[in-house]
Amino acid sequence: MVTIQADRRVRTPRPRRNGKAGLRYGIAFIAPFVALYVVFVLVPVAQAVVMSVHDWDLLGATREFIGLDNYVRMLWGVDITWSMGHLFWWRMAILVLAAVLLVGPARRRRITLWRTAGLLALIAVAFALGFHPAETGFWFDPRFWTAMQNTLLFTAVSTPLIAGLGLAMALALQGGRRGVRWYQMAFFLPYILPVSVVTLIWTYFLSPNQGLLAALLEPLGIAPIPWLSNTDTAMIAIIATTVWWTVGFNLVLFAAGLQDVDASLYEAASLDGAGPWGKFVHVTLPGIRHVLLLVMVMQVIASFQVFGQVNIMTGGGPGSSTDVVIRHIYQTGFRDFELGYASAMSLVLFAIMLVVSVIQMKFLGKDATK
Amino acid sequence: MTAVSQTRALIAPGAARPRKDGRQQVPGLRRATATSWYHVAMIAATLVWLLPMIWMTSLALSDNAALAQETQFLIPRDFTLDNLLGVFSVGLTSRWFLNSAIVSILTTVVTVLLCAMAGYAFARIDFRGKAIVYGSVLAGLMIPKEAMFVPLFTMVADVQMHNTYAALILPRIAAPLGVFLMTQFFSQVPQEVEEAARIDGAGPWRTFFFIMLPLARPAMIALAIFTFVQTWNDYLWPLVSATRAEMFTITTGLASLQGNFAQATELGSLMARGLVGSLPLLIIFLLFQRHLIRGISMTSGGK
Amino acid sequence: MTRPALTGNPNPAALAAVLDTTSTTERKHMHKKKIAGAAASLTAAALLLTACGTGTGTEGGNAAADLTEQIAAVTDDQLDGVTITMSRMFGDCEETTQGVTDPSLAASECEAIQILTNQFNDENEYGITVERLGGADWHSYYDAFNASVAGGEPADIANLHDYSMSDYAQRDQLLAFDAEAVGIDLSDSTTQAQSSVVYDGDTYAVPFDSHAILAHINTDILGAAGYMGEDGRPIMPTSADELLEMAAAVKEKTGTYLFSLGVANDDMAWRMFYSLVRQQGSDVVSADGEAQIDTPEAAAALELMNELIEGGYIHTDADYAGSIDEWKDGKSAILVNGTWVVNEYAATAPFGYAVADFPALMGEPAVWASSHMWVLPRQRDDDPVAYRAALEFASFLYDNTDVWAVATGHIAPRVSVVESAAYQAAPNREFYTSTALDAIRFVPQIDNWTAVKDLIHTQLEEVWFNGKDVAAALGEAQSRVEQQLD
Repeated sequence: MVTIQADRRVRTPRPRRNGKAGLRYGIAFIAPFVALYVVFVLVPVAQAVVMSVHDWDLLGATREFIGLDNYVRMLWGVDITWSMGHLFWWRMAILVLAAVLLVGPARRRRITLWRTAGLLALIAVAFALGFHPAETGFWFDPRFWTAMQNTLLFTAVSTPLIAGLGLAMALALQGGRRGVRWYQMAFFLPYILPVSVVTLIWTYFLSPNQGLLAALLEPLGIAPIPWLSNTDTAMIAIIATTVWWTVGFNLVLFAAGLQDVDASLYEAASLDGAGPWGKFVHVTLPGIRHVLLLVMVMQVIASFQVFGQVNIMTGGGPGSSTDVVIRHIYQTGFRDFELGYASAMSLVLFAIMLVVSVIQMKFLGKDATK
Repeated sequence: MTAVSQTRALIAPGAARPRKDGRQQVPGLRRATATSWYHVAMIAATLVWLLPMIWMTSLALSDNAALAQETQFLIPRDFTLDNLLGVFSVGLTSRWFLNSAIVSILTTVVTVLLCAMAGYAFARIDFRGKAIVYGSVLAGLMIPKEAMFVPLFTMVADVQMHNTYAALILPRIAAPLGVFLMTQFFSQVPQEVEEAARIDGAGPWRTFFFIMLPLARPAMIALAIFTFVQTWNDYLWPLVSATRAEMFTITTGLASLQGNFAQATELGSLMARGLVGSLPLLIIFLLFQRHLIRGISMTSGGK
Repeated sequence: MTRPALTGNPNPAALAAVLDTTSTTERKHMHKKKIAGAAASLTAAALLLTACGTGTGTEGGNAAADLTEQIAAVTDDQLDGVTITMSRMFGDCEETTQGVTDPSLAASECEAIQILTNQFNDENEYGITVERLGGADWHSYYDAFNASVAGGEPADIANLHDYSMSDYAQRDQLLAFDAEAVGIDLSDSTTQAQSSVVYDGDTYAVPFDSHAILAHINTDILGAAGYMGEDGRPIMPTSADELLEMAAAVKEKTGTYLFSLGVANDDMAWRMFYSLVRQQGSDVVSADGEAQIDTPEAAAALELMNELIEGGYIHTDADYAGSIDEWKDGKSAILVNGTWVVNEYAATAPFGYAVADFPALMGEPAVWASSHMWVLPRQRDDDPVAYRAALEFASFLYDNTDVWAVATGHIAPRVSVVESAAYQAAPNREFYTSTALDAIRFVPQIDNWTAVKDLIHTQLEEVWFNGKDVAAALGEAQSRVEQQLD
């Protein structure tokens, strides 16, 4: 019987088969999956591409080719100008970020093609943010920009929060003590609930006159806060709900990743005189780097696609403070019947997620291959 | 062993060493106190964390009429099992559970198998065009589901396959995440395993089915649990595809029991339905939790 | 770049490695292949799309007239044994209504419609059977309905609201029919109901009910504030000033809010706003289909509501369930809610309860109303027998609007029903008869009303939750709706 040896010699793994035989087996193995994938994923995407250059009514009223009009409608407006000063500080921040990310690799003379591409993308974004409607102008689709803003805010806040909290919890739960498994299970539990149940519980939990939170905070002298009807707190409530729902999953990922960090490295670090923080930065973090990347990428993708919580808990409100891109797309398709425009928006969102994910993977990925 | 001692080193650095003044520390006692505080803190943390779910259970066990007046309590008011039992007394509930079970189980089994095969190929078999295909599959992770499902819907409608199990199962099998996980796992398996198999005279199929698959069990279980949870909790697709009451899954079925303004008049029942609908997932998770963690460990690139 | 070595610690390279397995030249080659592949699949997809249609067929004018004749020509024999499908809101209550055919036993919307369906199945002279299709919860009803229409398989008879009917009618997804031919006497309905089922001169729907907002009164509190009359009826204000006086009196003498209404993530406050605008004889969209939001009437309505908020007479934190909770707990005098809760509160209110028309504060009596109606979605095969069966069922439902109205509190569309003794005898109905017959105002029948309403509602929420200036909010609503209506 084949046994797996712990000892692994340094070997360059050769491909299993070469040439024709490899192709034959390769196709045979991937064929069932790829067949389903093409039919159920790629074809709908192709259809979406086709629809996006049409004025395509959901119920068949129109099917008219309109070229790139949908994209213009999404991204442009009447009387749009560019100025240096618009959103100045945000753009400065992006440029500073780009500079900072350049410094390290520049010093180490490891400016790769991907790094350059990423930096150029950042600079392009900083440039693009200068566009805005003039006094007499307006965006064709102001809701798109509001939704994009909210989505980016949601992603930027919830991703580090969920990843960071997951990591912190995993660290607190490491050590193989008795009962750790039960704690892990408890923190993971919310993940199995469907979005309808999660939002139901939290809508009630946060309610100022019917919710448990208000009742618990009252003896502490804190007045009930109308979380979901206050434009300042609605997004916070959505984020909190999402964190509660999904952190457990990342906790489990990190817990497994932590288990695999080579213990001898910790001892070596101790001998070098590193304290707990030093060990964390120099041993733990590099050791779980792959999990960290996996979690960050998955979390960013999921956050860009947030929908259920917003749709059910706040309906995009109050005002439009929690409206997000997927919701806009969904309503455009289903409420307004404008499938062409909805498809165009989905593709743009997809493109943005693709770019962000690739940049994440290349930038945060390995530059020090062992 | 090393994990435990390393953690101890992190948390109670002094515990292992004797004190300088010569008096012997009783390391066991100090460790025990730290441990009990740890457990107290953890139990408190988990209780706070689970508070919303505890409250939900409490509301599910309260009478609907009482809830119309007051909801801010942790202990059930006018304790009643009617809400929970009410879910089961609806004639079609067992049918909905069955539908969910069939769809989820079949989806899971087929997904895991197909993703394992594809993952093995992407990781271990070299062939032309592999990178493109793999890249396209990964790109599929970023396709917004809610936005893309109308073309899928019309496609299935055109072949008149709505209201069938196939319509609920097939679109879900092509899951990029599954391929991603399995590919990662298989790229960790040492070359020697395959070498040994080849020397033994096994072809790629035998190698895959009799050697690789058993090795991949932890990863497959991890993928299985994720797939099962996602499929079980899926709402939108079953909503539009399975429109006959006998074909509802448990999620859409329970939602269909809701009248307008249900929250105002039958909050307890709503909460009870939520609980009951998730119960099977809870049981499955409890049963497979051990495997889940080990499984993830392998796929994240562990030993 | 070859694949990385499997060293003692393969972890770090794994992720990047599997993504990065080809050389640059290979990649360029792949790139070309990718473009070719993409072009091929796009062509295939385009061909696929032209081959497959979505939605049901659209017929020309001649065909429609033919259809009406064909439907009229359907014989009773042909109807025998036909099964049609129905899609509706209202939830599911199989378990309490299994086998029940006596509508007087109905205690909720769901039970009422289900029992009526059972009764029809049991008693109709043609042998038609009606089956229910779909069963989404209320919020997802339109999603499911739209999907079914887009997929070409909608139910034979479906439930819609007045404001959405025109969207489907203009897309040729509904059957235009001759109501008289199946014994549906639309002239018995109120003028509002009659116009609500007509689009572009054709009848597309059968009205089932209308539901408006009402004032649900806690007479104990109102009495303590001095606003209960000798006759046991509340003294309702007839102007904005009187309203504010009443609010002040309630606050002073009982320390409670004047109104409870759902403002957060709910439509009740919007409905109040709309009612106030209609009371002044205005509307948010003009008869010509022009946006008309930035008007003095709308401003006056918003300003009145702002005064109520600033005075502490209403607050904006509650959602639908919260507002009811609050009122039931005795924290307010009046609950602004709809007709659908009249029966429930009459039976269970823990204090003196009275219903009144929503007060006419800014002119003529007018309140927001919506209505449920039955439509016949077009089917792929345009089978006149199925259409006729559905129309017979619709006719039955129209004949039973009295049963529905009594069981649910909704307002029947038929004048004869509203004026009948049986209806008037039901709890509190006599007190909102004038609403039922005169004051109800449906929203304008325009393309995609929901989008227009959302745009206005968002701006209103900015005013209520974000303190946005009334003029600015109305101005922005005006321009956005203009853009939408373009």
